[in-house]
Amino acid sequence: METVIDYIDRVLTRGLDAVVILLAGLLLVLLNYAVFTRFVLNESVSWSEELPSHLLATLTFVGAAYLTRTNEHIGFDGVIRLMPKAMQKAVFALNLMAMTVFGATMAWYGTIATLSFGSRALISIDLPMALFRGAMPLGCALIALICAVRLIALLTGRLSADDLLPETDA
Amino acid sequence: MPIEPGYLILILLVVLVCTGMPIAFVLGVTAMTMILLDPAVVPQIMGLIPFGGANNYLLVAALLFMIAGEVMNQGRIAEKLIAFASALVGHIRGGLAHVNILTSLFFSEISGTATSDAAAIGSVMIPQMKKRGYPVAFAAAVTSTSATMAIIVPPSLNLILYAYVADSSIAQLFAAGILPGIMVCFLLMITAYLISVRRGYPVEHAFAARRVLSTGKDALIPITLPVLILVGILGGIFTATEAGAVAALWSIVLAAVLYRTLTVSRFVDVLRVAGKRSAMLMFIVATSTLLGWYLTNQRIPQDIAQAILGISDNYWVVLLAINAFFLIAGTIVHGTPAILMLVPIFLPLADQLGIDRVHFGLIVTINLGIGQQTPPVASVVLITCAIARISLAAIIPSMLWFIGAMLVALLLVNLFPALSLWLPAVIL
Repeated sequence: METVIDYIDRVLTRGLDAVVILLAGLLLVLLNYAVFTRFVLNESVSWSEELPSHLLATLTFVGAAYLTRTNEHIGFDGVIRLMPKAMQKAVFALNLMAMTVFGATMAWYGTIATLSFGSRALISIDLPMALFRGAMPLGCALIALICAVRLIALLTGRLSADDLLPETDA
Repeated sequence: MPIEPGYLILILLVVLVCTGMPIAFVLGVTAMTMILLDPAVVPQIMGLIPFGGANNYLLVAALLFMIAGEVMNQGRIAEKLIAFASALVGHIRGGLAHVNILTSLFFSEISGTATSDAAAIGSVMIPQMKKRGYPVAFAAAVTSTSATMAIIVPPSLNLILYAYVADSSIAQLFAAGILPGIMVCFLLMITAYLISVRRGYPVEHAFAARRVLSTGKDALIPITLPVLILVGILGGIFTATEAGAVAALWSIVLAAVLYRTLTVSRFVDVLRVAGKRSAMLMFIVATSTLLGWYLTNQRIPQDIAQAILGISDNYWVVLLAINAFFLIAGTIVHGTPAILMLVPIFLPLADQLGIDRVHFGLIVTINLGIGQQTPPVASVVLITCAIARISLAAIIPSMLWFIGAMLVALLLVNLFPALSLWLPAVIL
């Protein structure tokens, strides 16, 4: 039977997947629209650089949380694979602890930074800056949450060290 | 005596990388530790710098080129390019090896990444070569090493990243990669030819201009993509990001309308894959920007440059040391983090030695490309081994001659800067 945590995990993963697809598609459409207006209509849109670069930053942090969930961030597994299983487990537990602290710290300072921008809008288009800057604390908070849940799962035996070996294909 | 920040960073990086922690987190955790330990640095900076690193217009191009490459992969264009390459070089001794290498060069100008190149071409060429009696290890070695061209010729993802880190012109870097890329192709073909003559590998067919024309017609359409990118960027018509957008759209039109291979669900998959790859890359950019900020704040790159110049200020000795460092780094770290972590450290040194930044970019890229053909980090080789169904140990002996050829290319690029700087000077 599906537990509450499993349900949240499933919804969260689907949500992150949808946002990543949406942002990649949106960037594709917006950039082509900007090219169309510049070369065909001979009139550049004002947001042609600022909006895509902010959307890319949004994709970065939301996508980073998604990749943390799917364990697809690249890493080097040459040394860790040589360690005995018990040692691998201890090392991964320490890693997850450090990653949780990192995510939480970045979420905290990201929130402070986002709030400091108040109601300021982007320069070229009337969209609140917090909409984009908020992706950093949100993504990092999710990273902290995902790592903390994985740490508990690892320590309680619901997750093995093999499940946490890093992706090695860039 | 308190430990120097530079040493502490080095220790943290090495230890954390060895624990299997994802590279983006290695950089982030190291930066966070240093900032929190340093009372002279305001920690609030951690909320600003990573977002600033990820908020980058140039790097949107990487996502768009990934979409273009993924869409073209769906269009089974590798087969069309192989037929054309076969018509051009199939008549040479060891024909299929040359076809494999030349197709890699064509495909590199579409994919931008060595792994896509190896997967797309290897899955067609390795079984064909096997059927024609080539040893599997040889076929896999040719596929893997020739895929390196994808990170030398435009639209190389590594060159885009280098342009960002070194604040160099992407158009110049793309132009600079063309001749070295062709040279690597040529040297790999010479190596394949010499091995083929010695081992008696077959030729495919006699050269026929009619075959070149008929296969060329099919290959012409996919080749419009790199032409569009190159003419657009080098001609000063598009920025790299605009070229990426147009290339992505053009590839979608080709795959959906002409080849009819792109369904809605496949397109969603393409966006997912490209979005995730881009996020992976950009998260490394974000955390490396934070570490880079701390390093610069402490003047660590300048100190390293001074320390190395203190040992020797001879141009060639230092250049050799830089090459050796990047070559070794390429064997243990992926291209993306290697560029983001190491280029900011070595750039002041290159500047002091008077090495042109575009030339330096090519040196870095080729070194990392060669480094990634050897374990422990050998994602291209591993993909090729999986397709060929052989072990890493079995492929290595066959790769040595081809790696040697790439080292010759690297030597030539080092000795003759004009190989990378002449074309940008002429056309830009």
